[in-house]
Amino acid sequence: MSSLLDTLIPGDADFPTPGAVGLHDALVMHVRFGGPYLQVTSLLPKGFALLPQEERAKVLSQIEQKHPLIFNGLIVGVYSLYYTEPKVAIVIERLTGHTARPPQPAGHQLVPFDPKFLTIPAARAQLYRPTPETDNA
Amino acid sequence: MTDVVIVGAGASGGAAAWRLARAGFKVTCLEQGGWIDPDATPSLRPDWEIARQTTHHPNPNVRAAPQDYPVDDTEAAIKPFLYNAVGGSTILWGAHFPRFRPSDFRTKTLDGVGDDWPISYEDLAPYYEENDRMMGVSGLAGDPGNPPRDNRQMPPVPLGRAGKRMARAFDQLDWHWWPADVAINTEPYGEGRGACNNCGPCDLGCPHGARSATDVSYWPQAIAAGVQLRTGARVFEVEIDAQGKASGVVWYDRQGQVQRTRASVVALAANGLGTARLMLLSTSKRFPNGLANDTDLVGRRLMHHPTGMVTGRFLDEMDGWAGPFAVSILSQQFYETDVTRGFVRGYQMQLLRSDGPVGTAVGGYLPRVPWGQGHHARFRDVFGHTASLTVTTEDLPRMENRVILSTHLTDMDGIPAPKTIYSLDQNTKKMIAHGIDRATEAFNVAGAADIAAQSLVADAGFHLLGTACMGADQATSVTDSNSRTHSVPNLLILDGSVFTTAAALNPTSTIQALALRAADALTRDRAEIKVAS
Repeated sequence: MSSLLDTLIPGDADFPTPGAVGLHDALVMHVRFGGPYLQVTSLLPKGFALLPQEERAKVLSQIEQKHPLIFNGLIVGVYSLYYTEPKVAIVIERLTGHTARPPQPAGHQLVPFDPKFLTIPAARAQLYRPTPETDNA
Repeated sequence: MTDVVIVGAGASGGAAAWRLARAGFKVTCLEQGGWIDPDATPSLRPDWEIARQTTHHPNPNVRAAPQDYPVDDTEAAIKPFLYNAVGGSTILWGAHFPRFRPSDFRTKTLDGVGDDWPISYEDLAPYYEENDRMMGVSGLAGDPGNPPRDNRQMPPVPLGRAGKRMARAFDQLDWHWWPADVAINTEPYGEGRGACNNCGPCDLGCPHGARSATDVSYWPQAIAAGVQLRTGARVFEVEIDAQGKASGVVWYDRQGQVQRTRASVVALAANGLGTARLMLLSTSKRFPNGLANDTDLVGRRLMHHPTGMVTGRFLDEMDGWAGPFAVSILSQQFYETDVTRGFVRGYQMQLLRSDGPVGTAVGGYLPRVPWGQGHHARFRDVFGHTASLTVTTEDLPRMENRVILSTHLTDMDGIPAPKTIYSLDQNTKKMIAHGIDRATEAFNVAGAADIAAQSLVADAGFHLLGTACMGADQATSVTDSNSRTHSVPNLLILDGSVFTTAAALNPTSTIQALALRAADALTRDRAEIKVAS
């Protein structure tokens, strides 16, 4: 069913298609995302895979309009599994610097706060409103 | 038999349990969730972003974990956002830690709207200080937007590229801004708690204990002080005796067996949703409409913080995936009432960083990246290139915004679920519209390439307030100034339910300060408190 997934995320010179990273198997096996995927798959017309890309997109747009909740579940599942796929993460790291590893335990450098930024805001006048209690304090 | 039984081990339950145990009370706390293992955080896994869509989703209806209860939100403009565990919703919070302003306690006197609190900022100030010390706060003194106060325990979190850009924009506009006060360690602080390593997704947990939550701040000390904490304990009724005094609570254990804990004092700390639900469930001949509900106020006056959001996309990289996602800088330029704006009260703008790859693609700050041709081009344009300003508005209490019991939804033990009924009034809508215009102006000055706005973030029901409100008049409030219910003197409400008004900023430090203050009042008055016979 790579024709469905590759229509959703066609891939380009940098990014692989979902079919190329084995997303079909990951989706089918996923406890939450498998359901919407199979539901949308069941709604596809015969010969969907043989249609040109533009025609496949039209079919999917119609399904999205008729079954928005199911289709939304599919998109969340496809995007979630695609963008956590290690081969995709490596592309993102190369393009953006976002490291292809979990946020922890390494994290990112914690740069000390530079107080020079506060020259202007610290010089402002009192902005909070007095109350009867603050007046009496 | 225990002196005090506390229902809920979250922000307020943990704080009060610690304080009461240190004062010599025998304290038992019942929590329907369990302990969260910090070493099991999804942030350590490659699929960490999937957890946000599934097991760690903030909406209990999506997460659907065994310890959760569903929420009927079919008539609510804002969806629930909470967690059930030791630590409560601090388990998945962003750790914003501002204090109310003095005017927040006096909306009726100053602006003729809402109600005045029966206490003042000055009454609460020492408890804010104590709570800061326990939770650990990073930030800076000297903010002209708030009363003078002691130095925070640690310096602020880094601004990040977007924070610096927006700070300059605020300066150009001559608007207030200041580094946010946050309950995140920028240096090691507390028992075994390390420093933040700028990883980003604080909401998924922190293996270093740098992002504070009550499971790593209050609870270790509360347990050391003798508090008995029972997890997997789902309380479904507060019992009263023939005189109408609270005598204890009834709960299901993990095996579904009914258990009973008798106590001299019952304290509810289950948030503005769970506490109202429990009070409404606890009917009796004395209280046929729910515990301490003579005035029909229990569950009413539900307040959130209706939130608009504006996101700017910059051509240069902002690297917003690094750094605590929810905290950087904030502006309170439009916080106080200015009637020329066409509304009363005001709002705060908070700068958010951005998402990881999945969050960017699925959407949140910006609409979802479209599927089909052009998908990756759009992904490249937005990933790491955005920052967002939330417009967090004051939510004034309205009787029609409320929590009731669902007629058809139950949790796994068959207990009726809460239902929220919630809408925005015109004043709030005007505030959000004004805030969106101002945030858009700020992004324009900052040089954003394009800007998108959301008039209401639906998944923003993280502040659950006002459903058992505090007041001086027994006819128009549920609790007194010490968080003790008027009609059941040995029943305390410790969570955000007691808020008289909501202010326009994150409430956790105020919730916890109120809980500490309630604990001290109970300690002071313990000889006079009438308990169940």
